[in-house]
Amino acid sequence: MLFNSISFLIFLPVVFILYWGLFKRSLKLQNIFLLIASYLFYGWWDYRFLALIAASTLVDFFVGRFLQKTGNEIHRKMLLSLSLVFNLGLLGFFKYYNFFIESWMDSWANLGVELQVSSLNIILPVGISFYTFQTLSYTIDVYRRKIEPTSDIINFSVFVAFFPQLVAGPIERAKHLLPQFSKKRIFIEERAISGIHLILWGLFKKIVIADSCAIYVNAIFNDYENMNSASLILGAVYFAFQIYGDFSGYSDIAIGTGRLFGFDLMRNFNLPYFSRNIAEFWRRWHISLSTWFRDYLYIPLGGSRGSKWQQVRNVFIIFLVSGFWHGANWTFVIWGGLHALFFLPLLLGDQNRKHLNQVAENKILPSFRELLQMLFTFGLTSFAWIFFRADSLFDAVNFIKRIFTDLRFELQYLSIERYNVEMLLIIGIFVLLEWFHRHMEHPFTGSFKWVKIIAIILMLLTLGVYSDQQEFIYFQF
Amino acid sequence: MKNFIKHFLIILFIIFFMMVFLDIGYAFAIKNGGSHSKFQNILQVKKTYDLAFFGSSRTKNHIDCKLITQLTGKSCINFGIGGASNGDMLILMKLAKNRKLIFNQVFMQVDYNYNYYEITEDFKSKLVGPLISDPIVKEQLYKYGEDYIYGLIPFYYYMKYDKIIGLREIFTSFLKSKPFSELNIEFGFTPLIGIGKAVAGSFQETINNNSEELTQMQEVYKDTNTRLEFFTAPYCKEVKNRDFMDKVQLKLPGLHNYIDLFDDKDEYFFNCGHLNKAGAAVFTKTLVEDLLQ
Repeated sequence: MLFNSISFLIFLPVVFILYWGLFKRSLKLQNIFLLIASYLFYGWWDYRFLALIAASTLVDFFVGRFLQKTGNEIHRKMLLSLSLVFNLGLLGFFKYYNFFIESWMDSWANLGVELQVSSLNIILPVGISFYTFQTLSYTIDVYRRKIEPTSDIINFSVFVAFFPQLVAGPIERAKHLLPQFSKKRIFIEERAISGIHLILWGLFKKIVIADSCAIYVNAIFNDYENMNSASLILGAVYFAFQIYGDFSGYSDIAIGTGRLFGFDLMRNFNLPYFSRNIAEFWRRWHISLSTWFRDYLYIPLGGSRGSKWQQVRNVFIIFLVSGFWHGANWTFVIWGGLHALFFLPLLLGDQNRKHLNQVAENKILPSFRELLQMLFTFGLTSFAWIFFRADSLFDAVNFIKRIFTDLRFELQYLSIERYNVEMLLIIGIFVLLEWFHRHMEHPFTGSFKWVKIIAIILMLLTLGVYSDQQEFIYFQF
Repeated sequence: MKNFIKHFLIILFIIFFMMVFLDIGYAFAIKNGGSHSKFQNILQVKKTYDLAFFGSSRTKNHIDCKLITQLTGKSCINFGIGGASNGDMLILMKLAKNRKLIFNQVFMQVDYNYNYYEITEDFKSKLVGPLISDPIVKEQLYKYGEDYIYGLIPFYYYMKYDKIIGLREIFTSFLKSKPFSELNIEFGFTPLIGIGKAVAGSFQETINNNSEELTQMQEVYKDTNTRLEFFTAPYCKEVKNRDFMDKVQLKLPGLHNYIDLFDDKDEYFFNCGHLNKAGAAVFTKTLVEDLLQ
């Protein structure tokens, strides 16, 4: 079920009314109801894959229970391995099986050996990368004795399948979300109203920014051989805003929906395009994944301890794995590798812990230096996004090559019957809105709150894309 | 909870109020804006034509009204819309009649579309503003069980078809700017350039018992001075199940069937189902000689 669909528009109020009306008096009933609603939400897309979520839930629940019961370190390691093998095995099979088979055959073909190994027609279950990482974090934290395992299977099941964040995060930690299922929920009006505002803001980001950009991005990337340099650069910029609007919009809707039910989900994006360097960008982009990799991969590898060589190795591992997590394609690996390269000078120059505060704190406008830093960082990320968006490495390289060889910077009329620059106006409005509300999670605050709400609704109705609705990009990961 | 519900209802009210307001505004812009489609032409043009051609792309791309006027001196308009169904054309004819557009002679293109009557998505995208509330349109949509009910929601159709009638299009229409498409509003003819016969395609093997839409078209012009005739444009000989047209001929005895007109003239085809510019000119002349002199 898509957040921006009619079915969700009906689903959400019905679940909300039953949750606070019929089941208000019993926490257990509320959790059971949330579990049923979450499975219905997921099953709306494809009910067959509910079995995977259920299996993942059961494995990690019982691994957690057994981990608590045994003090034997070998047994504990075996139990952890069982969870890792099961969850990563699921992910590996559904997401990477064909990639590995095809890459293996290609590498033999390069040596002149033709192998006949058939790939499978595998459907990638929506959100598998998200919920497997969420359950894994639970088991690892139990193994590390950072949290106590839960004995309530309903609570654990709904923690894994909680519908607002099931298919595209934020990837919650058990330490943060799981205890919330055990506490009596009180309806706090301010929180619920802020939830509505976040949903509205998320819908604006998705329907107005991301889906509008998608129309231009598709026209430019699908016909890049006939585009001039200006259109190609704009294509990369538009994609930067498409993926940001899409993913952060989803996260806002997820967090807002969570609040309607009395839950607090972690912030996943914090104005990443106002970052002054790549390290800051990664502290603000897809925070739940970045911190997951930091806690469960980077730090166990040694993190920023050890020699410079080890630190560089760790940075490359984490970025390459992060790229690979996004999809079974070399384009994602290169995207991750590029970010590692961008990060390297900061690491070597001990600059990666710089800019921990918000840009232009207590000021209306940034300094010239800050502006240049932000533009430079945005340029680097947009360049890397080309690999993320391109269908293949070949296309990405040719796309970039054409930017530097065509050298025509002029208006171009695209196949979508629009000029290449038209989207800049909406993006400009969006950037200004974000800039002047950068200390808040959404713009609907202050004395002009209702004016802003009306303006956003007006833009949603008149500038939103409804005829060509795009699925959320991160559903495929 | 009280404040929350109040807040939520205010937002819902704003959304609803804006949808009503925008619906009225967009409808006004369409009604008073520049003509960007054949639809708007129907809405705005109020005059008499000697000849009117209705149909799908085989009318839009084949019937050169300017040439017909040159050859016969008769005024002519082409209402062919790519991909249109008989249901679409029936609505268009009814709207034209309702708006006192008078034609002395109407030609309706019939071929595989004998079986094809459901209102097309592209056509529905144009049923907005003043048109969606038109009783004729309502009746037709209701009849086909379309999502007509959504048409009752203000602004719904503008959102559903935002690509075609979004803010940008409405704005340019209102400013009466020239349309970006190559649509020739005056005559409605859009020729295809090139030669080819790729993708032969196929007619259906069976024909429907009858076409209620074609019968209704005859009803539309029954008590008027307008003469309605049916014609079939040429197809390449490679098209499968071409004998489908024999079945259509049995259903419509007066049909002017030109399906095999260019069986030995490959150079007149843009693709198997469409003539190119040269083919369209020869076909138009043939129609003039056979039917209009």
